[in-house]
Amino acid sequence: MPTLLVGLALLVATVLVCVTIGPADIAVADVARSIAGHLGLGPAAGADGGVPVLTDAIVWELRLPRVLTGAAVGAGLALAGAVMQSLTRNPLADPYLLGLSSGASLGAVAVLVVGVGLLLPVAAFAGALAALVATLTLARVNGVLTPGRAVLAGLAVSQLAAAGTSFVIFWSATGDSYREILNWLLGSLAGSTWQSVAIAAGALVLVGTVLVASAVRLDAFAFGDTAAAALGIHVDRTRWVLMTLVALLTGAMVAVSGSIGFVGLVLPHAVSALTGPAHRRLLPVAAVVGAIFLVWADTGARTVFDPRELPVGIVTALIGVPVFAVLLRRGRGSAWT
Amino acid sequence: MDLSIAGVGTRLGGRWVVDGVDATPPPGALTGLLGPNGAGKTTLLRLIAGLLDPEAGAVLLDDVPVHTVPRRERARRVALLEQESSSTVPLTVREVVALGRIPYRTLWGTDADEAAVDRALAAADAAHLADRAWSALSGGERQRVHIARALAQEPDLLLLDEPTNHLDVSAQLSLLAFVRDLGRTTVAALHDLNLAAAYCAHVLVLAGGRLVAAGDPRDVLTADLVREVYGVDCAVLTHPRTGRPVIAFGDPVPGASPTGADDSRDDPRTPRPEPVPEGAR
Repeated sequence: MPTLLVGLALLVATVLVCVTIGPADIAVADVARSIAGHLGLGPAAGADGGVPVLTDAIVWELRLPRVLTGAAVGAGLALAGAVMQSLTRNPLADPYLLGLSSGASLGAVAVLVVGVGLLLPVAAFAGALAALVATLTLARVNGVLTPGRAVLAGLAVSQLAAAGTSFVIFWSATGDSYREILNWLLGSLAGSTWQSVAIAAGALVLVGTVLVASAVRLDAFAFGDTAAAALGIHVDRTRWVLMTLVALLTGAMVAVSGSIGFVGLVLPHAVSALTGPAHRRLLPVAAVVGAIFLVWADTGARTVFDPRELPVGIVTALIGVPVFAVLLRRGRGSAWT
Repeated sequence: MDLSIAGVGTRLGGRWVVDGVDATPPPGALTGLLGPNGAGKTTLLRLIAGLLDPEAGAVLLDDVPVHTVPRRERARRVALLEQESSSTVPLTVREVVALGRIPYRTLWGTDADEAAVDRALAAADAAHLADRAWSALSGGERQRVHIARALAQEPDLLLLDEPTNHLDVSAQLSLLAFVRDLGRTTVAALHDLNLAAAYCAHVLVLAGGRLVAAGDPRDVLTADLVREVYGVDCAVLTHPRTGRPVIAFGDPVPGASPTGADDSRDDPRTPRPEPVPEGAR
């Protein structure tokens, strides 16, 4: 519990501080006043005692939605990774590595072309689910799923979906199609609006609650399916329900940010060193730390090479790939072949 | 608790891997489940555990078919330890044993379970291991911790699938002596006939999915039976100190193959990836 409270405090501080960072210098106090004004807790922007209108617009219309979307996406991806790692007993399981994110991107891009933006999260979910089924079907031999095969199958599915995404954009985009392709494939929070906040946070709260409530069931998978069944778990049902929820979560996150990699891989491992492997403690802390991580990664992505902006996926990959390498070296046992 | 196996059978891939088995393992004692590879031992254990629905007959726990008991309740009454149970999760011994409390957990589980975990650790003589990392234990210690996990379920019936696999002689003997002295109804699949002869109150011998002999090992484990079921010549001696049977093996009988063996996928030394339906055993 203390870990979680410390994490939440750090998250609030992260949000406030990261909103101040950017080309226009804005003080933490101004951020607080702008937020207070919109929540009706203080004078409105431009009014007596309120922040200047321009500052307010930067905080409330640009940076805050972006930071909050980043927080929700980071939390969602970390949760998704932690749950997948337990369900597949694969320390390398991650929505990005197993192809879910790319599948979701393809789904999202496909409906954007057709022009039904409202269906974006739904299509992303469908894409993520299809990619999940494809990866598991490819990777499973006689009902056995080894971590190495799962990652290879994920790679294939991911490449196919990425190619599909690129093709659809290339075929249809009128403007800067390369930039748009990059944003979907590497992830970007640049276009975040309050609507993105609503989609990502809504999915996070809805799905996250169910996942955290399933913590004990996830614990039961530590020694595999039969052991879980012997502990009274309905293994098949639990697996499919939770996997579908992970796909739903991934779909919502990808719909607002494209496929940001490695958040789901890195965070659960780092956090379980802190909380231990019991999911009741692990999942909430992983979500909070994932939020903090992605907000900082995105702040770096948009400011380090100012005025140019990096896709945030480059930053998360720079951090994530070394972690992947360490996990790969560590897991050189027979279970990996 | 009364365990009664009543004409139970099931097919895997069209073949009856367990076929009309009738048996009544004695309550409060250790029963050995014997038979060559592919005889159906693991499948029978899974049927007894209620993890597999029988296609014929039923396994009755106090006269109730076990596969109809709700999952959680069943997990409070029956504990099954598989062969080759391992994990990549960095758990401590205490956390492994606490898994056995999952059938008792509510959504907002409390620490009331801690006492049960402590009891289980003590009962399995594993209390001194509680804070060690599970992955750092020896084979014998791991097996003990698994038994503690099973005991944490507070089951009436304990099912063990080749619990002595990979253990050295001393660990094999102490494990079986410990299980025998638990005074709990236990069915253990065993490969080593001498261990079964030394520690089991009762043995069930399977061949080709059928029960071919059952009873006190002193009556059941005869040279004829071993030759017929395992296809091996042997002499059955009497242990000069315990009076229990000791089997001295000779050569395999030429032309004879163990009954019901289907060994292509079933060498016990090959760790099998786990979700395979473990039928042909």
